[in-house]
Amino acid sequence: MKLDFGPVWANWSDLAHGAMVTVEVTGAALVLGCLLGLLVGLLRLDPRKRVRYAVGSVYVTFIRGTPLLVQLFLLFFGLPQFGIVLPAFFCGVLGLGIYSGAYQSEIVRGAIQSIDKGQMEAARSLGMSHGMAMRAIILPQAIVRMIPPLGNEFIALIKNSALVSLLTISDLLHEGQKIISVSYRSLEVYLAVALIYLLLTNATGFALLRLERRLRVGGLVQ
Amino acid sequence: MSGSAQELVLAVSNLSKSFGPTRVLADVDLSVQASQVVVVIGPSGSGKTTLLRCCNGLEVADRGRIEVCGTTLFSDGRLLHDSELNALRTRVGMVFQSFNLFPHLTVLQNVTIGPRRIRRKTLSEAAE
Ligand SMILES: Nc1ncnc2c1ncn2[C@@H]1O[C@H](COP(=O)(O)OP(=O)(O)OP(=O)(O)O)[C@@H](O)[C@H]1O
Ligand SMILES: [Mg+2]
Repeated sequence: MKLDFGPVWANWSDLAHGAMVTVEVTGAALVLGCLLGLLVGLLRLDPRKRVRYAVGSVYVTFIRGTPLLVQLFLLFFGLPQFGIVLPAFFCGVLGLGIYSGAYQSEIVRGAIQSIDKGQMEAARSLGMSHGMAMRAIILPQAIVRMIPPLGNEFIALIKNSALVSLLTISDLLHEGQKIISVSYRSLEVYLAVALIYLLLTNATGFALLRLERRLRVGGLVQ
Repeated sequence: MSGSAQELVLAVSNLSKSFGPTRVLADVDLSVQASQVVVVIGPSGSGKTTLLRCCNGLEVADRGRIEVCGTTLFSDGRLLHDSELNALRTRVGMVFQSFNLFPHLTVLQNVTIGPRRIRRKTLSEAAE
């Protein structure tokens, strides 16, 4: 059994294009996920604020408790029954973003709650409002603590983005499958696809590590 | 005590506070006048910190009355409105038992963040 990477080289630009689509879908979903994560994380800080807390909890429970693929199919194949037909790319970003937001909200909540509550009290005792204390005192410290778990989440999101190939989006995996359908070189092409994912995930991990170090040196943490 | 016209900066009357079944403050009365130095002493766990936290609105007492600089901070189980409370707090300093310095800020930023962020002073004004 001989390996033949010929089809990989011959269709290199298709794979590169697919990788770009993967980066785009993931990047857009990341932004959406961060916004949702921050919003819902803040909603769920205080269980005594029942309504806010309940809204956040329903979201996290539903999204975390059901498969991402099912959520994507609900958006792409389910919504058209209500006459809502969204473009595939948009569905992919929306689905991944909503999914990631649920996990990110827990990261945000955990990091904020890990900051000593004396910090909030000290800020309030200076006369700061709750919101100002959150922005000037709590969040700058919490963000540094969010970075390692967010790094995990970003990497997971890149890998999960492969599922959007099932929504007809021409991402990295989808482009690979197209090459296989004409060359029948599954092993070689999937290896190449895996390698590109590996590059994407590790580059992300590396970038976040650099960022964390910068923030530490910049004095955002003791 | 000199002069009867001394300004009353802190007036606490009949203040009570319990944490569950533990009664920490039982009908406490206290009055502090301007430029007076007052020491509250007592064994560990006797409620000194709790009293101070009540006077800053960080803890809500159960009964009694607290007036700070002529403003009623607490009475009949109710705390002053948030915005007025914040304004009052800019005029009252509090040092915490565990200090609670802001670790992400420099020493200068730590002492100037109050006046700068809340009273919108410049760095040089605040640093004075
Ligand atoms: N948030 C709280 N919940 C329950 N009990 C509390 C709380 N805060 C304080 N207490 C209790 O109230 C009592 C008084 O505590 P406080 O901190 O006011 O004492 P203290 O006089 O400042 O003591 P120390 O000299 O050790 O600082 C203690 O028995 C303490 O366990
Ligand atoms: Mg104490």
